[in-house]
Amino acid sequence: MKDHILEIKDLHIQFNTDEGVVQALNGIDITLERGKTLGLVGETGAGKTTTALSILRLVPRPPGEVVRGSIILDGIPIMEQSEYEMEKIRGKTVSMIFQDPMTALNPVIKVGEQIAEAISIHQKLSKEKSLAKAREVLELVGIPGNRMQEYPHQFSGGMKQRVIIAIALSCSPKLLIADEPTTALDVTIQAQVLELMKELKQKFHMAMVMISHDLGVVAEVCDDVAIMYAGKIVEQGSLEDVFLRTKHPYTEGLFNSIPNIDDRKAELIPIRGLMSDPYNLPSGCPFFDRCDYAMDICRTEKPVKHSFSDTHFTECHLYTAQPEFSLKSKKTKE
Amino acid sequence: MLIPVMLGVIFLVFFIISLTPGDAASMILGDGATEERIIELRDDMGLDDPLIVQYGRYMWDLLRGNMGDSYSTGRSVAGEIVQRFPNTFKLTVTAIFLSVLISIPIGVISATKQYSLFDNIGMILALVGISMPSFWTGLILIIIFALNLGWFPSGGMKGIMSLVLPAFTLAIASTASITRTTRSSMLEVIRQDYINTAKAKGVSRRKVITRHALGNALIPAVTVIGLEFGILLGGAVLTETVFSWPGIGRLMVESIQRKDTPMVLGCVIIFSLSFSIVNLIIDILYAYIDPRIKANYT
Repeated sequence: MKDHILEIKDLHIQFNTDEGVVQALNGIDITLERGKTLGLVGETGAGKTTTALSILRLVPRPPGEVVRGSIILDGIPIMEQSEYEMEKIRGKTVSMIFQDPMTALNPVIKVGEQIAEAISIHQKLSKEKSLAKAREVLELVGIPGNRMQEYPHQFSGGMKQRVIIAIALSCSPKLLIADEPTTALDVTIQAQVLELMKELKQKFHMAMVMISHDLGVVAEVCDDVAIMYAGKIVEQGSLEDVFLRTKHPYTEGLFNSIPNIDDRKAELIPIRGLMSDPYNLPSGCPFFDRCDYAMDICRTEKPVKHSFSDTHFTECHLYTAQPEFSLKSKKTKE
Repeated sequence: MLIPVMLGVIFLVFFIISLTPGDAASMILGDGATEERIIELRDDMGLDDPLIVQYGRYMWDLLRGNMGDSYSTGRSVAGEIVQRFPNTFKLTVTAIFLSVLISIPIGVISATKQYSLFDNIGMILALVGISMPSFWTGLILIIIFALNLGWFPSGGMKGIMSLVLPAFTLAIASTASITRTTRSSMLEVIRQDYINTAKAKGVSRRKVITRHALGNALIPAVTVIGLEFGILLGGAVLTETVFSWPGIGRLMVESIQRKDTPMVLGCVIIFSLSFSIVNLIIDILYAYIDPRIKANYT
């Protein structure tokens, strides 16, 4: 048995709102080895952030409710911990980088203190020692230590994201969850921040869950990729499996909707339609009405997992009937 | 900002009082005065001059620091105000202190336990509190705690016990509105991303609220506290009258009844001056609470 930092099994989470029940996660299975990076890809509303928050047990409750499933983080069953024990896990074993650096820092607290806070909580250091350590971490992410005394509004977006990374890394967590860490940044800064994250990941030998809807970012940093759609992982495998031996029609759709650098005249083919209404998921495959390959069975029955190798699997009816089925070549449309 | 506001206030009040019916001279002299005496006094006081001339004369005196003498007692307005102001100040400061002490914790707890029983009861009480006029609250408190229970005196200013009822009366309405503001700004703040960042760092629930959320939620609350302070000064007019509290508010009501123009103007000047000063202090406080504001001025 391999040594896993994270094991999520059959996780179901729903949100009970006034308008009805939103089934946010419908049976998520994720395993991640120590030191590896998993890319979690999907469109807005697919449940990526909910998955991430559930690992820290920060899904707001109410309205969120864990229906069933288990999460084991570094050998600790997350669902069974008390709130006090969770406080000791958050920031130390697992930490998280949030999407928008503009709003993720507290505007009225100096950045140095925001970094030092995590250190003093988990390493039980005095204020001076925590601040000294915070300074080191800040310099590690490429910000001069004398900016400790400044407030977040005095930093640019890219600098703020570096500060957030510094906070997340300040206690050398074993798992880092990055929720679209570069989406809110402009392209040149994106590359810098990604480079920094890769470098630090090597340095601390961290595992990472990288949430993104940018397949370019995923290709850059991830070892494994999981494609999410409507609260399920529809295809998962190594980077090569998913990128080169694409199996699920939705994954194919994602690739077809990004520009191809080798053939700039190629038409972009967006995935038609919208994601199914999360209040009212269809009884069959949730991707059914947007899928070019849809069959009758897809309307009525939920697809089951079909494995191609130890690591690569997809949930799609196409392969139950014809295991040798292969998707149309990319960039074509009937 | 302070000076134009003061000038505007004095201008308005001066003309409004002058336009009200009644004659200061005959009020000073009382019922038994002869016609000649009244005319003589009116002439002495310059009451027959055009209003604009009277206004000019008043402003000229005021500019040299002379607020004139009371029509009814003949004592200097400034002296009377200096003597009475500390009483009003004591009352309003106690009231605002009480309401901050009560409202901030209730607002915070209500927000963190939104829609709980505590929150619902708190918000109903706030609605009731904000809807009660202070003179009415004052009378009810007197009936319950002074007449029936006899715990506190019903009026006057003798020792700390006599401060309790008027201070509570004043505090009730402002407690309600500060509570509501604290609650709504807390609700907004605890949904912010940086609260999640703090939680993800492993900060405890209590510290997330007290250190990360409250610091941000106080910014709007401080504005309301400042405004409430001004409203309290105004509310003090009625409350002081109900509780026969010897402050500026009661002095003003009495002076209006006697058409004692210099005294009324003196009181109004003091009210608006303290209101403006409180606002100034609040503006300065902002810079300490919110570093983003300080950045705009340096």
